[in-house]
Amino acid sequence: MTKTKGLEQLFAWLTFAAVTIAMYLVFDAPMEKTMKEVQKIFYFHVASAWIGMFAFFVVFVCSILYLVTKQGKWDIIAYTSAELGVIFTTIVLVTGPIWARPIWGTWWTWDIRLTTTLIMWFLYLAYGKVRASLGEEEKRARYAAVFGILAFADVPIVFFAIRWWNAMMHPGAVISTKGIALAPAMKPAFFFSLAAFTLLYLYFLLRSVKIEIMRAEIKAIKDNLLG
Amino acid sequence: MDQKMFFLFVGYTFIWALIFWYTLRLDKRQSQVAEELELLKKSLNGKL
Repeated sequence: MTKTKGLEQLFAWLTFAAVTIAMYLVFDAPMEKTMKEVQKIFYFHVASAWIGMFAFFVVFVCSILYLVTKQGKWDIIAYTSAELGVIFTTIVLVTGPIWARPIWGTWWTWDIRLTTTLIMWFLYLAYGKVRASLGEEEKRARYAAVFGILAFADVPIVFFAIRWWNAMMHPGAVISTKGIALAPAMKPAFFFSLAAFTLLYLYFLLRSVKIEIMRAEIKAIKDNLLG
Repeated sequence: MDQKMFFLFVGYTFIWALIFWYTLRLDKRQSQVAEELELLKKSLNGKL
Protein backbone atom coordinates (compact mmCIF):
# COMPACT_ATOMS: atom_id res chain seq x y z
CA MET A 1 0.00 0.00 0.00
CA THR A 2 2.85 2.43 0.91
CA LYS A 3 4.62 1.60 -2.37
CA THR A 4 1.44 2.36 -4.35
CA LYS A 5 0.92 5.64 -2.49
CA GLY A 6 4.56 6.57 -3.16
CA LEU A 7 4.14 5.88 -6.89
CA GLU A 8 0.91 7.90 -6.94
CA GLN A 9 2.62 10.88 -5.35
CA LEU A 10 5.54 10.58 -7.76
CA PHE A 11 3.10 10.54 -10.68
CA ALA A 12 1.31 13.57 -9.25
CA TRP A 13 4.58 15.52 -8.96
CA LEU A 14 5.65 14.44 -12.45
CA THR A 15 2.34 15.74 -13.82
CA PHE A 16 2.70 19.01 -11.93
CA ALA A 17 6.28 19.43 -13.23
CA ALA A 18 5.20 18.68 -16.82
CA VAL A 19 2.37 21.21 -16.64
CA THR A 20 4.69 23.88 -15.15
CA ILE A 21 7.31 23.31 -17.87
CA ALA A 22 4.58 23.39 -20.53
CA MET A 23 3.38 26.77 -19.21
CA TYR A 24 6.94 28.13 -19.33
CA LEU A 25 7.47 26.86 -22.90
CA VAL A 26 4.15 28.33 -24.03
CA PHE A 27 5.01 31.79 -22.72
CA ASP A 28 8.56 31.52 -24.05
CA ALA A 29 7.31 30.50 -27.54
CA PRO A 30 7.37 33.23 -30.18
CA MET A 31 4.24 35.34 -30.64
CA GLU A 32 2.22 34.78 -33.78
CA LYS A 33 2.38 37.88 -36.06
CA THR A 34 -1.33 38.56 -36.62
CA MET A 35 -3.04 37.10 -33.56
CA LYS A 36 -0.30 38.17 -31.14
CA GLU A 37 -0.71 37.11 -27.46
CA VAL A 38 -4.15 35.49 -27.74
CA GLN A 39 -2.74 32.83 -30.11
CA LYS A 40 -1.08 31.21 -27.08
CA ILE A 41 -4.47 29.78 -26.12
CA PHE A 42 -3.82 27.42 -29.07
CA TYR A 43 -1.37 25.22 -27.17
CA PHE A 44 -3.81 24.05 -24.48
CA HIS A 45 -6.88 24.38 -26.71
CA VAL A 46 -5.50 21.82 -29.19
CA ALA A 47 -4.05 19.62 -26.43
CA SER A 48 -7.47 19.55 -24.71
CA ALA A 49 -9.17 18.66 -28.00
CA TRP A 50 -6.84 15.72 -28.67
CA ILE A 51 -7.06 14.44 -25.09
CA GLY A 52 -10.86 14.81 -25.12
CA MET A 53 -11.10 12.70 -28.26
CA PHE A 54 -8.60 10.20 -26.88
CA ALA A 55 -10.67 9.91 -23.68
CA PHE A 56 -13.76 9.10 -25.79
CA PHE A 57 -11.73 6.53 -27.73
CA VAL A 58 -10.90 4.89 -24.38
CA VAL A 59 -14.66 4.88 -23.60
CA PHE A 60 -15.28 3.18 -26.97
CA VAL A 61 -12.64 0.47 -26.44
CA CYS A 62 -13.59 -0.20 -22.82
CA SER A 63 -17.30 -0.33 -23.72
CA ILE A 64 -16.57 -3.06 -26.28
CA LEU A 65 -14.39 -4.91 -23.76
CA TYR A 66 -17.15 -4.71 -21.16
CA LEU A 67 -19.79 -6.14 -23.53
CA VAL A 68 -17.44 -8.96 -24.53
CA THR A 69 -16.03 -9.88 -21.09
CA LYS A 70 -18.75 -8.53 -18.69
CA GLN A 71 -15.90 -7.49 -16.35
CA GLY A 72 -16.80 -4.47 -14.22
CA LYS A 73 -13.34 -2.91 -14.47
CA TRP A 74 -13.96 -2.00 -18.15
CA ASP A 75 -17.18 -0.24 -17.21
CA ILE A 76 -15.33 1.70 -14.48
CA ILE A 77 -12.59 2.87 -16.86
CA ALA A 78 -15.19 3.74 -19.52
CA TYR A 79 -17.26 6.05 -17.37
CA THR A 80 -14.31 7.67 -15.60
CA SER A 81 -12.78 8.37 -19.02
CA ALA A 82 -16.11 9.75 -20.28
CA GLU A 83 -16.19 12.25 -17.41
CA LEU A 84 -12.64 13.35 -18.22
CA GLY A 85 -13.48 13.62 -21.91
CA VAL A 86 -16.31 16.00 -21.03
CA ILE A 87 -13.95 18.09 -18.85
CA PHE A 88 -11.33 18.43 -21.59
CA THR A 89 -13.94 19.08 -24.27
CA THR A 90 -15.42 21.81 -22.04
CA ILE A 91 -11.98 23.44 -22.07
CA VAL A 92 -12.04 23.29 -25.89
CA LEU A 93 -15.55 24.75 -26.17
CA VAL A 94 -14.80 27.63 -23.80
CA THR A 95 -11.24 28.52 -24.89
CA GLY A 96 -12.19 28.31 -28.57
CA PRO A 97 -14.69 31.21 -28.42
CA ILE A 98 -12.37 33.17 -26.09
CA TRP A 99 -9.68 32.87 -28.77
CA ALA A 100 -12.15 33.46 -31.61
CA ARG A 101 -13.73 36.66 -30.28
CA PRO A 102 -10.76 39.02 -30.79
CA ILE A 103 -9.68 37.26 -34.02
CA TRP A 104 -12.90 36.42 -35.87
CA GLY A 105 -14.95 39.19 -34.24
CA THR A 106 -17.50 36.62 -33.06
CA TRP A 107 -17.77 34.13 -30.19
CA TRP A 108 -19.22 31.31 -32.28
CA THR A 109 -19.99 30.18 -35.81
CA TRP A 110 -21.76 27.03 -36.95
CA ASP A 111 -18.51 25.90 -38.58
CA ILE A 112 -18.33 22.12 -39.11
CA ARG A 113 -15.54 21.61 -36.55
CA LEU A 114 -17.22 23.67 -33.85
CA THR A 115 -20.66 22.16 -34.46
CA THR A 116 -19.49 18.53 -34.41
CA THR A 117 -17.42 19.20 -31.27
CA LEU A 118 -20.49 20.64 -29.53
CA ILE A 119 -22.52 17.55 -30.58
CA MET A 120 -19.74 15.32 -29.21
CA TRP A 121 -19.86 17.17 -25.88
CA PHE A 122 -23.66 16.74 -25.64
CA LEU A 123 -23.37 13.05 -26.51
CA TYR A 124 -20.99 12.33 -23.66
CA LEU A 125 -23.00 14.46 -21.22
CA ALA A 126 -25.93 12.26 -22.24
CA TYR A 127 -23.76 9.18 -21.57
CA GLY A 128 -23.48 10.32 -17.95
CA LYS A 129 -27.23 10.96 -17.75
CA VAL A 130 -27.99 7.49 -19.18
CA ARG A 131 -25.84 5.93 -16.46
CA ALA A 132 -27.35 8.06 -13.70
CA SER A 133 -30.91 7.18 -14.76
CA LEU A 134 -30.46 3.42 -14.41
CA GLY A 135 -30.43 1.86 -10.95
CA GLU A 136 -29.61 -1.76 -11.68
CA GLU A 137 -25.82 -2.20 -11.99
CA GLU A 138 -25.57 -4.69 -14.84
CA LYS A 139 -28.25 -2.94 -16.91
CA ARG A 140 -26.57 0.44 -16.31
CA ALA A 141 -23.18 -0.86 -17.45
CA ARG A 142 -24.66 -2.58 -20.52
CA TYR A 143 -26.75 0.41 -21.71
CA ALA A 144 -23.83 2.77 -21.07
CA ALA A 145 -21.48 0.49 -23.04
CA VAL A 146 -23.83 0.46 -26.04
CA PHE A 147 -24.23 4.24 -25.80
CA GLY A 148 -20.43 4.65 -25.47
CA ILE A 149 -19.89 2.66 -28.68
CA LEU A 150 -22.56 4.52 -30.68
CA ALA A 151 -21.54 7.98 -29.41
CA PHE A 152 -18.00 7.40 -30.67
CA ALA A 153 -19.32 7.72 -34.25
CA ASP A 154 -19.06 11.52 -33.86
CA VAL A 155 -15.41 11.52 -32.75
CA PRO A 156 -13.77 10.71 -36.13
CA ILE A 157 -16.16 13.21 -37.73
CA VAL A 158 -14.85 15.91 -35.35
CA PHE A 159 -11.25 14.91 -36.05
CA PHE A 160 -11.56 14.73 -39.83
CA ALA A 161 -14.08 17.57 -40.24
CA ILE A 162 -11.46 20.16 -41.23
CA ARG A 163 -9.85 17.66 -43.60
CA TRP A 164 -13.02 16.42 -45.33
CA TRP A 165 -14.90 19.72 -45.61
CA ASN A 166 -13.85 23.31 -46.19
CA ALA A 167 -14.13 24.76 -42.72
CA MET A 168 -15.62 28.27 -42.76
CA MET A 169 -13.50 29.76 -40.02
CA HIS A 170 -11.66 27.13 -38.01
CA PRO A 171 -7.95 26.81 -38.92
CA GLY A 172 -6.75 23.68 -40.70
CA ALA A 173 -5.13 20.60 -39.17
CA VAL A 174 -1.92 21.10 -37.21
CA ILE A 175 -0.65 17.66 -38.21
CA SER A 176 -1.54 16.26 -41.64
CA THR A 177 0.01 14.33 -44.54
CA LYS A 178 1.63 17.63 -45.55
CA GLY A 179 3.56 17.78 -42.26
CA ILE A 180 3.26 19.92 -39.12
CA ALA A 181 1.70 23.31 -39.79
CA LEU A 182 3.61 25.07 -37.06
CA ALA A 183 6.67 27.33 -36.93
CA PRO A 184 9.71 25.31 -35.70
CA ALA A 185 10.09 27.54 -32.63
CA MET A 186 6.50 26.75 -31.58
CA LYS A 187 6.85 22.96 -31.80
CA PRO A 188 8.45 22.34 -28.36
CA ALA A 189 5.64 24.23 -26.57
CA PHE A 190 2.99 22.43 -28.64
CA PHE A 191 4.30 18.91 -28.09
CA PHE A 192 5.11 19.51 -24.44
CA SER A 193 1.60 20.87 -23.81
CA LEU A 194 0.19 17.73 -25.39
CA ALA A 195 2.47 15.54 -23.23
CA ALA A 196 1.56 17.49 -20.07
CA PHE A 197 -2.18 17.18 -20.72
CA THR A 198 -1.77 13.48 -21.50
CA LEU A 199 -0.12 13.01 -18.10
CA LEU A 200 -2.90 15.07 -16.49
CA TYR A 201 -5.56 12.87 -18.10
CA LEU A 202 -3.77 9.69 -16.94
CA TYR A 203 -3.36 11.11 -13.41
CA PHE A 204 -7.06 11.98 -13.16
CA LEU A 205 -8.04 8.63 -14.68
CA LEU A 206 -5.95 6.63 -12.19
CA ARG A 207 -7.36 8.58 -9.24
CA SER A 208 -10.95 8.26 -10.46
CA VAL A 209 -10.58 4.53 -11.11
CA LYS A 210 -9.10 4.09 -7.62
CA ILE A 211 -12.13 5.87 -6.11
CA GLU A 212 -14.53 3.63 -8.06
CA ILE A 213 -12.65 0.50 -6.96
CA MET A 214 -13.05 1.64 -3.31
CA ARG A 215 -16.78 2.22 -3.97
CA ALA A 216 -17.06 -1.31 -5.40
CA GLU A 217 -15.30 -2.63 -2.27
CA ILE A 218 -17.82 -0.78 -0.05
CA LYS A 219 -20.70 -2.29 -2.02
CA ALA A 220 -19.20 -5.76 -1.74
CA ILE A 221 -18.81 -5.40 2.05
CA LYS A 222 -22.40 -4.10 2.42
CA ASP A 223 -23.76 -6.94 0.24
CA ASN A 224 -21.81 -9.39 2.40
CA LEU A 225 -23.20 -7.91 5.63
CA LEU A 226 -26.77 -8.02 4.32
CA GLY A 227 -26.75 -11.43 2.72
CA MET B 1 -4.42 45.86 -20.60
CA ASP B 2 -4.35 45.13 -24.33
CA GLN B 3 -7.58 43.42 -25.50
CA LYS B 4 -5.81 40.29 -26.80
CA MET B 5 -3.84 39.98 -23.56
CA PHE B 6 -7.12 40.22 -21.63
CA PHE B 7 -8.65 37.34 -23.65
CA LEU B 8 -5.49 35.26 -23.13
CA PHE B 9 -5.72 35.89 -19.38
CA VAL B 10 -9.41 34.89 -19.30
CA GLY B 11 -8.71 31.74 -21.33
CA TYR B 12 -5.90 30.55 -19.09
CA THR B 13 -7.79 31.46 -15.91
CA PHE B 14 -10.68 29.27 -17.07
CA ILE B 15 -8.41 26.31 -17.94
CA TRP B 16 -6.58 26.27 -14.61
CA ALA B 17 -9.70 27.06 -12.55
CA LEU B 18 -11.49 24.07 -14.10
CA ILE B 19 -8.50 21.76 -13.55
CA PHE B 20 -8.12 22.99 -9.97
CA TRP B 21 -11.86 22.54 -9.32
CA TYR B 22 -11.77 18.98 -10.71
CA THR B 23 -8.69 18.12 -8.60
CA LEU B 24 -10.48 19.35 -5.45
CA ARG B 25 -13.58 17.40 -6.46
CA LEU B 26 -11.51 14.21 -6.76
CA ASP B 27 -9.86 14.92 -3.38
CA LYS B 28 -13.28 15.31 -1.74
CA ARG B 29 -14.69 12.16 -3.40
CA GLN B 30 -11.62 10.15 -2.40
CA SER B 31 -11.65 11.22 1.25
CA GLN B 32 -15.43 10.58 1.55
CA VAL B 33 -15.14 7.11 0.07
CA ALA B 34 -12.00 6.27 2.06
CA GLU B 35 -13.75 7.36 5.30
CA GLU B 36 -16.82 5.24 4.51
CA LEU B 37 -14.65 2.23 3.70
CA GLU B 38 -12.66 2.65 6.92
CA LEU B 39 -15.86 2.86 9.00
CA LEU B 40 -17.29 -0.24 7.33
CA LYS B 41 -14.08 -2.20 7.91
CA LYS B 42 -14.04 -1.15 11.58
CA SER B 43 -17.70 -2.11 11.92
CA LEU B 44 -16.96 -5.48 10.31
CA ASN B 45 -14.01 -6.09 12.64
CA GLY B 46 -16.16 -5.14 15.61
CA LYS B 47 -18.77 -7.73 14.62
CA LEU B 48 -16.22 -10.56 14.18
